[in-house]
Amino acid sequence: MKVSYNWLKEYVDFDYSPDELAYKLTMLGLEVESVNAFVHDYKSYTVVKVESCEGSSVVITDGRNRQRLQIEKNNLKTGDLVAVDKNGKIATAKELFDHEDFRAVPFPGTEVGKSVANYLPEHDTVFDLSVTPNRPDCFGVLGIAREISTVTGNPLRIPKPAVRESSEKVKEAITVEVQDTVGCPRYSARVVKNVTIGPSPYWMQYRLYSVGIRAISNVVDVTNYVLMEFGHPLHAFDYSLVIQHKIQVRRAKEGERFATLDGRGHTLDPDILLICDGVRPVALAGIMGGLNTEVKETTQDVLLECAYFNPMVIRKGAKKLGIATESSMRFERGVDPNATTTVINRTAELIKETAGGDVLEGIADAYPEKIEPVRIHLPNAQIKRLLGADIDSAETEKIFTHLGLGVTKKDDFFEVEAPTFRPDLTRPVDLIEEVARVYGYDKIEEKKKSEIFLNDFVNTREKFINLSRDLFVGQGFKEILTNSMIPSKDGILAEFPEEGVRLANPISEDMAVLRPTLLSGLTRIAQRNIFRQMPNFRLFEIGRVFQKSAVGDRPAEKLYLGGILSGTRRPEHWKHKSQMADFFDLKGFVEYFLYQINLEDVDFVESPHWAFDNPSVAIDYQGKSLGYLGKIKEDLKKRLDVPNDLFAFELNLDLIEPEMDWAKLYKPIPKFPVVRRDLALLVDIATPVGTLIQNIHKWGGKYLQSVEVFDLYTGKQVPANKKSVAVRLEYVSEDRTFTEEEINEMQSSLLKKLQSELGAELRQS
Amino acid sequence: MASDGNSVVEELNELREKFASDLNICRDDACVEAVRIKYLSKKGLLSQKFSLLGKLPPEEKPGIGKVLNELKNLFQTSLRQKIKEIEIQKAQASKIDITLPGDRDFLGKKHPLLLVLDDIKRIFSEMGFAIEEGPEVESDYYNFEALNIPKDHPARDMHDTFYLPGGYLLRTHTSPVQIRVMERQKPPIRMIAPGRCFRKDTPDASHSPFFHQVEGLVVDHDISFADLKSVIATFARKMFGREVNIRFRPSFFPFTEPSAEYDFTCMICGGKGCRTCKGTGWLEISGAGMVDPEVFKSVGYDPDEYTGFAFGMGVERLAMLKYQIDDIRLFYENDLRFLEQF
Repeated sequence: MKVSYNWLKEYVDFDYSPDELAYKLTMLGLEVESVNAFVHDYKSYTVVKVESCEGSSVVITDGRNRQRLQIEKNNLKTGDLVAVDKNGKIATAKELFDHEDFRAVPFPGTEVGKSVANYLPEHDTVFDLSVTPNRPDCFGVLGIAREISTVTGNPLRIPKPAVRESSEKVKEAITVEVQDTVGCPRYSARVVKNVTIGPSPYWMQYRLYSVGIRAISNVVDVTNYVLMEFGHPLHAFDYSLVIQHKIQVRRAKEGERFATLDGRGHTLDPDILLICDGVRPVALAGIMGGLNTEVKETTQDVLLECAYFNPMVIRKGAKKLGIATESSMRFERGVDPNATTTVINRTAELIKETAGGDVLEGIADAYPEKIEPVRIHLPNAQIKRLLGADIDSAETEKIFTHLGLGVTKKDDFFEVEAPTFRPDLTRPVDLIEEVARVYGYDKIEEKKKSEIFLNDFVNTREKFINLSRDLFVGQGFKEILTNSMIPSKDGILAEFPEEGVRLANPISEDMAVLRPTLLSGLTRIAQRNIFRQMPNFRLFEIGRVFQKSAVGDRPAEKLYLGGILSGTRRPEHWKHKSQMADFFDLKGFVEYFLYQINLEDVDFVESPHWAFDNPSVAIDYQGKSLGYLGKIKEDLKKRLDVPNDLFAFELNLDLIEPEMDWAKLYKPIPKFPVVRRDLALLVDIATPVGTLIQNIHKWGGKYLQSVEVFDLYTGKQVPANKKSVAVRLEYVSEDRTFTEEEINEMQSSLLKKLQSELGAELRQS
Repeated sequence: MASDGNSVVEELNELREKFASDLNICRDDACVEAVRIKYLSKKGLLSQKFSLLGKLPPEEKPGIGKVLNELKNLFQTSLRQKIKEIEIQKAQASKIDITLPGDRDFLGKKHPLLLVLDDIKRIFSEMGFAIEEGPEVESDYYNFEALNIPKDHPARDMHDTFYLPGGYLLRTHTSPVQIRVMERQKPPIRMIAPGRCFRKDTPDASHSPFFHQVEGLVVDHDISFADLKSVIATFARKMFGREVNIRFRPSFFPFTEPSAEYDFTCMICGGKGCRTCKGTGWLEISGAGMVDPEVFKSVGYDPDEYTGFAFGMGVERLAMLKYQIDDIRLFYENDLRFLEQF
């Protein structure tokens, strides 16, 4: 909402500079988003008269000299007053009012030969206010002036329109019939006959342009002026085009068609409230007037509408049609149902003043059920309880009075009557906000509560997530955050076995589906960094994924941890040759994580997966799959246009977190020396090393504590169908030192078993 | 071998030069020892010259004898010096050049946004707030209606919402978590709800269709606006330093009454006014207010018995201020050169 400093001064006195005023308004809750100061050199413009006008050829006079000018797109008429600059050029709205309008401005109400500075102030400041949806009253200059009056204490000057009426009665000229009183609780109308359509006077144009509204013609400008002044929308119809001189307010029929003032056609339905004449719609109620009854240069008689429409009905209709206007925006928030008389009288008064004509006697007013002000009982104690501040009750009373509320002060409570221009005030708490707002939020002192309230809340999930982050960061991974909404054409999504959850109203196809996996974001970020010549990285993300649920529309939301790595094992360094990271780096990172969270009995099982190939590994634990790891498939890499190997994993934290055992119990450190034995074992080349290790554990005896693979060999030194696996075994006892014989016995019984079970033999060197 | 004095002197000169060149090529102790043996052992080249002394005419003996002794001394000194030199060279060769770069692994890094969120969580945990979470896919009821934002209310314009099939939506704020917690337990409540939110904003330098928010809620007997101010002020100081002040301005949110926007002293200029704070000395942070009685009614709390306050804060906003990042999209591009800085 734009408002001008000079315009505000018409309704209330204040001594604030524009910057001070901006601060005051902001601290009252009317946030000033921008302050624009205007300076115009109006002294250098002089008023002249258009003496004759033929096509683009115009003759002007300043009373002494005549001058002939050529004007393209001439909108002037003989007799118009206009302003010219020192070079004799006719001023446009752009030059006079900083409005993007390059037409010449006719300037009624001024005198030929006088400087424009006599009529218009050279300085003004325009504030752009962000008005919150609860304050429809502040969508008018008067409402904002009222706010200023509450802080200055100076009285508000509300215009009191005096309409000189003719003898013809409005009741004989128009009938108003409201069929939908829910949608339209009040409809007030006046008729002004015999107006002369022309430019509006200079001061009105100045006001309108100052808040960014283009001047059109006197009658239309008056409705806009009063709209800005009172914040109450109005509409003017060409009375002669209102068939049967009858207004009906009803809901639209399904499929009914209507063309609005802006030339657009609409197909309507019963959610839309219509203003109709005797036979057809003439306006979308509260939203926009119709082309069929528009006020034009030829209009002689005008029908004025000032109504109160149901906010919800207007909002629903405007949303449905996708139209937002100055008018709908105000009706949606709620205008004052009891202001229509004043507002329509003010409009009639200004039309008579600027366009002449005869204002018919009376108002055709359909207001079957008066909307009464709300009465609110407010105990003093409640104010203190909610604000934590002692505000003097005399001050509270003053605040209410300045805000225009009716107030009766009693010993320990207030009886307040909230006028209908403040529909946001219905409860005691709403009044408390008014007190705090005007008293000043900054004057309420911070207070520390003295009572100790101990929160015994424990959040192990939060702790687990943070531990997981630390564990991957500690292994050189960088944490990333990616969009939950992924492209509908995403390669990962195409491979994902289930259909993704699609948004009903995405911004674009690039963000149209909720991610069912973190691999989409991880591969995209990997690709981006590779394209930017940074091919060596380890990345991880913790975030929610969304998968279609078997029952109902609510997608299943799961917390995943995913990671990706590519490029060298370590950053390049002078001391060692660079090596490329491979599957075992990936597996090591995941193993380390699982070890650190005490989840050791997991199985890495070769298993097909939609994203991975050679290898593609499932992480299984007690019959559940906790996640996957492997190398990203070739065709996925092709889609990403990335030749580099990408290794990735994804873990379901919702499944892992409950399995974590936070209780770590101390195990005594062995008192007796550990005995180490290295064995080089020849096994069939197809035998997984994992199977060999399981067997060693199984048959190694109760003192065998650990088995570690420290070398793996295939090649000339061993038969072609064999591989040599070198393992280091550690034996430990809690109660004694082993003898050489004991160890040898354990070893030989192990070797026998390995030979009979796996065909493994000790490699002879 | 010549037997006149002059030719002997000449021979000795040759010997000295040969010795010098032999010793010069030595790089280790073994080589020096070999040179010693070659010249100074009993049958060494120099020792042989001593045995020639007897064959010289008597008048030349003392002169040549003296030269021979000097030569012996010179050889011995040179050998000792060489050994010392080799020692020094060895020490230098084994010395570590500590100016060479160390062998580092890849830098593990937390995301800057989550570092700030970690700070926020830590500060509120220290103040006794529980950390709660809720679903990112919400129903209209939890995201709007229970928070006193009815259908067809202009306040819905403040939230451009993404919808899903079946009337579900992506939460536009973490305020629905308030409702879920209040439905679950009775006061006293002191909690924050951090999490990802979604609004249908076209991405640009200051907007992202997904972002992170922390919502706070305190409910108990006699909780007042003054308490709200003190919690926000304590947070501001713990987060940005003791010199930071707060400013509350009236505003509107359907789920709070009175409602406020709160600002912090601009930490970039210290409140003097700069480009970031548009010369005001204040930075807009977010919204707060006293819980609206309608919200209490929707969770079955008695507004006459309990009062409370709620506040929000945008994690992106705070992180952008803290690190002076001017484009929100940097958080989600995840360029390694960006991530490495924090």
